[in-house]
Amino acid sequence: MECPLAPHSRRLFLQRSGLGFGSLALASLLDQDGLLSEPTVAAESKPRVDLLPRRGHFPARAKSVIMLFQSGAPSQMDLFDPKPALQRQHGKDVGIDSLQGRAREPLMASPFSFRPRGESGIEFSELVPHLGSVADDLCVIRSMYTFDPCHAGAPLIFLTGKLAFGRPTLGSWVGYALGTENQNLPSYVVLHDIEGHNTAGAALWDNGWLPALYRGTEFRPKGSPVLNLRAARKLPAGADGDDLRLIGRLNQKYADRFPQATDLETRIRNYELAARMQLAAEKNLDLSTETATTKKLYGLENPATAEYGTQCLMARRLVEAGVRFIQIMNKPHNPWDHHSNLRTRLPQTCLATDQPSAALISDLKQRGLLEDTLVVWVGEFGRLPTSQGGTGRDHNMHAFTALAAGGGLKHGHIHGATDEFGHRAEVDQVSVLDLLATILHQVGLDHTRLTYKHNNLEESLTDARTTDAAVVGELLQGPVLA
Amino acid sequence: MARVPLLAAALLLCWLSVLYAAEPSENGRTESTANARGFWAFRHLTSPRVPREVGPTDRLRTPIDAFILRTLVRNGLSFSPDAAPNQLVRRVHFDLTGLPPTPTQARTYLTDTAPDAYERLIDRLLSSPHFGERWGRHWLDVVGYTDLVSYDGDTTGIFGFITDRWRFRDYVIDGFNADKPYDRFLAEQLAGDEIVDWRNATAYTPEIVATLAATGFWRNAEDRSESAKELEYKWSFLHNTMQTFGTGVLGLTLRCARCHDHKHEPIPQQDYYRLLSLITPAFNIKNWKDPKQRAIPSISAAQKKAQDSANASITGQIAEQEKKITAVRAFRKQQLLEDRLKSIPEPIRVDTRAAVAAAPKARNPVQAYLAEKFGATLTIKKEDLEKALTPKDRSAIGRRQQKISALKRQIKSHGWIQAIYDVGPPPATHLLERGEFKTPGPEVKPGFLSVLSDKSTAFSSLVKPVAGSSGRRSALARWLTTRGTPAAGLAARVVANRTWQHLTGLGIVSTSENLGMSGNAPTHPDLLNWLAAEYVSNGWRIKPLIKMIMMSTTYRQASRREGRTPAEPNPLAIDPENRLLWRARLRRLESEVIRDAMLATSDRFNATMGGQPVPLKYRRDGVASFDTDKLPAAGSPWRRSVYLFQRRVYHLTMQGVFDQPTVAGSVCRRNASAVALQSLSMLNDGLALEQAEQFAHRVWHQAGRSPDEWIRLAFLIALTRQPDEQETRWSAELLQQHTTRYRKNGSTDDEAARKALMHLCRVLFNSSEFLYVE
Repeated sequence: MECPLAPHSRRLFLQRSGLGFGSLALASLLDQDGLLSEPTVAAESKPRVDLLPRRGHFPARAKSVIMLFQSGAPSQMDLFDPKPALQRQHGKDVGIDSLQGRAREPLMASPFSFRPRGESGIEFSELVPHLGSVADDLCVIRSMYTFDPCHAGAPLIFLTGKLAFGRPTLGSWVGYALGTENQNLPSYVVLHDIEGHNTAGAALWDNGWLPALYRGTEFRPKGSPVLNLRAARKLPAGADGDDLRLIGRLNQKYADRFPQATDLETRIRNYELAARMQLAAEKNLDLSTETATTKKLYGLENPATAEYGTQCLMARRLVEAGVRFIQIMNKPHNPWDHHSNLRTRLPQTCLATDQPSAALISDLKQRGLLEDTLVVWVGEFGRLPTSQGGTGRDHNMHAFTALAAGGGLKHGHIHGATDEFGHRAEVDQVSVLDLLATILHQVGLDHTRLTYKHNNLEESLTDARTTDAAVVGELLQGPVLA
Repeated sequence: MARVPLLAAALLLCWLSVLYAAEPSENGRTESTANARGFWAFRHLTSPRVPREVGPTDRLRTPIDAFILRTLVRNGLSFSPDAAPNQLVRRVHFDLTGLPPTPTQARTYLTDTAPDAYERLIDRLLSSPHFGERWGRHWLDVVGYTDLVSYDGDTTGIFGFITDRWRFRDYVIDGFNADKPYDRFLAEQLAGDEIVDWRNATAYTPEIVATLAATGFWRNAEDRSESAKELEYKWSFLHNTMQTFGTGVLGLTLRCARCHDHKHEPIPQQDYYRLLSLITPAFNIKNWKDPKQRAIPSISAAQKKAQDSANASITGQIAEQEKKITAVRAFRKQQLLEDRLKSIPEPIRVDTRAAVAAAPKARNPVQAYLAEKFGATLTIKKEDLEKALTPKDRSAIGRRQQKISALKRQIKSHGWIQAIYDVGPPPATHLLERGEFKTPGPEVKPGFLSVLSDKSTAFSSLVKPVAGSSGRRSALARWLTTRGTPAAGLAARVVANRTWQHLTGLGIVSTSENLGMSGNAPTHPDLLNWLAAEYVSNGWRIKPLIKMIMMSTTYRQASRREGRTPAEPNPLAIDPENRLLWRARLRRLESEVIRDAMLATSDRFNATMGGQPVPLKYRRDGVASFDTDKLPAAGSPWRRSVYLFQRRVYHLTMQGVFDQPTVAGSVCRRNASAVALQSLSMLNDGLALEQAEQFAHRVWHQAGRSPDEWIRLAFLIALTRQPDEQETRWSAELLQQHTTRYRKNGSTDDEAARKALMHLCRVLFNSSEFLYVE
């Protein structure tokens, strides 16, 4: 198939493909200074394995990040990126190729109507009335693009920076760099329904070669939020404490024998965390203490919104508790992947997610938390303006829309634009790597200086030297810091 | 509709190749295919010369060491000293059986002063039945074995016909225990149905059943066709099956070639469909058998016919007996009715009898009245009838019922074999343009990967049709195992590499699922070739290969490097990831091994082998535990993990948190994460606490009455070592604290001591050392 590439993408490929020569040559060029590039392996020193809060490279605009990951790729033309030309030229073949060399199909107008919302007048589709109601709090990035059009690869790029398994995810990097405010909870929590697995699975909250302490910890929206938080049989008060003390002693002694094995150090921290989590997790996630108004706001009474609403409300509670990074993986599997019957299926997915997503933003705002919290609502790529089989839309890596709120980003703001049909990001393009760089910037981290030495190579999330990833200054309320 | 997540990196590479490949050149393919024959993994397998004069000879125990030491020396590195004997015995036991050594087993080795003590340790364990369970599990990963066939996207139910999948699992375990040569092992799995004459066999021998069950190899991909009739599910099954075959057996990503010529491997699209055509006679899209239809009875057709007819005759006899019982009751019932009719005034007696006997709707008004009035009187209740039976009646009925029970016991049932076989003559197989079944291209002829074939291994030279079967899959097996051919060379390298991975923690090619041009380069290509060549020349037997690796200094090294002199270069600076093996790798045990080690430690381990899997129960929130209502026997929850019901996504919670993989195809490598959920589960899961209690029970009964003795034995059982002075003191403190606490809570001295001991056992399960092999 035709696969035109931006020059930097081709360089990205060299990196991703494991050919190695690019990274080897570049490794020697990478600077060694920077707050976070402490030599980790050169001596027999150990990388950091704790969750104590640390300062970043510069003052943070956001203390926490909530990533509302919309697996399956929501259709931008039907939700956030109205295209009059597309509506007018419905049924016309304008030369947009289908994916995987499938036969070309004509444009498909959006069956849904748009209208301006809020004072900013940003247009939102009728399917997302609640998100529309917080239009003035949103930074709408209409010019997103990525480097891979499939459900396994694109989320990996989005969360790890490269199309490869085994790399640390964004939340792991943030936890590694900044620790967390609340020592009773993990720095990185994944609210993930067991039936809501994404195609790339647990790789989307993996620590890669960062110490395992920074892997996302899975909390569940159903039942006890954390598995096995309590002993399955009753033990007398104080018994756990004695056991944990000896566990800690033995494990420290063992870890001391293997200074390079960061997972041994991680296990020690895990037991400390486990003990504290017993006290904290249930208290922090006991949603029964929420008022009826709040529950209604998130749609907990409505079966259609209850599950996603629970996840969103849990996210707010975790932000309040000081958790650094929260990632929501919704259900079912790739819920936005509307290859067919978009007209009926897209509204269903919107119904489940629209109200809770907007509730999270307005609730955070009302509690004065939105300023310090960066909320990102985004899928792994977008969809084509052409039809697929007459009723659906296929994948499109060239254009999609991301929504962001809080965390020092502009609000009531539209950034970038796609072409007349919404097929390609054209104006002020933002790659997924640029967005990663920007998110790091808002939590006080310079993506070019946040590095980790792995197998004698300085690795980073965005690998900016080869990918040209950059902070998108136009999204920020303030200046780009360095 | 939920689908199983696809974790294969191969898919990513596929997309990479589509998106980022250089522009295809005209005629590029043929040329590159020719060049690719020179790629190390595609070359004829020849045994490289063992390096000589590579460095200090005092540590060279086997040729393997010469290869490893050569690279170490070139990089300014050297071997680490041998691991301590107690660490080594633990490592060897886990590697060969997946279980820790019992104190007795450890003592046997540690007190054996003969020079060949280590070798005999290995020999002992290679002949243990647990070897097959351990190494069979590795292969079950490779083929993506599950106890179900359809998709697994829900906690609520298990879909489709899943009966007796376990025969394949048992076949694999038995195969490893028997050290079945890989050429045979593979041939049986690819084409067992063409090896045994099952269609004409009058009776199935155990060998026929096992050989048919072996073809369960092809039945592991998600097959939804029992409920989903759309073509796309059948094709998706075929493509997934190809992927598993490619990854597991060839060590290559075939998936890309489904849609286009492979951009990173010398695999033209046509080759993909040529390979696919080898299985289309069995998986014929136009003559599809869903899993239920495809299952074969575990007895021959003749046996089944005889069995059916015997069963029919027994069923007839049962009916006969039942009829006689009914007759006795009917007679008494009639008698009872007549008696009761006597209470009805004589003039209306006949009418009333007719009214009651008539169907309610058919009654005329008069009859309805009579039925209403006398119905209750004339209805013979069951208990009235039972009371009315005479002793003679009762004994007659009892006698007949005994006969029925006896007859019922004679009814024979049979199990099923989830096999494959050609369902008819081979259909035409077409290349699919862009991989889409809706756009079939030209027909392709059966064949193999061209880069690994020549005239002598052409399909036409290898295929030998057998009665009722095309012989295509047998030809595939021959292509892969004919010595001296590039295909056999690759197949052998794949196995040798994975074996190395299982014993050292990392393959010589670290991407053990991909030895192709897009996989990682081998760290020691000569060694891998040498191992593969030795493997083939030893008759494709894995036990000698394993033994050879385990006998090496490379394997026996300690996992820590201590006491470096200042003059010595720092190996951590040269090779921080220890890719070159200057020491052994510290490895975390796999999920199954962790659970099995707990069972072994507590001595509750149930060593029953084979048969139906142990059923699990799944809650809506994803927590899985044992299905206590359906357990076949009391000790079943304590059987080895390989015998638990294997799903794709929903694993026993204790194992899920320890990285039991999602089975969406071939799993060649396991993850070893260290997350807080592992700590929480080890602390609090019902299984862990139950086992800690059982472990304490064992120590209580096997050690003397002093806390020091308990501590020593508990450490020895759990960690294969004595506690040092500090650990003993710490543990004694713990026992004291708990004893005091439980006494205060009203326990007797003995009870308090036993409960305290449970806590020590719990602590040992939660020690990192319990989870790792040094």
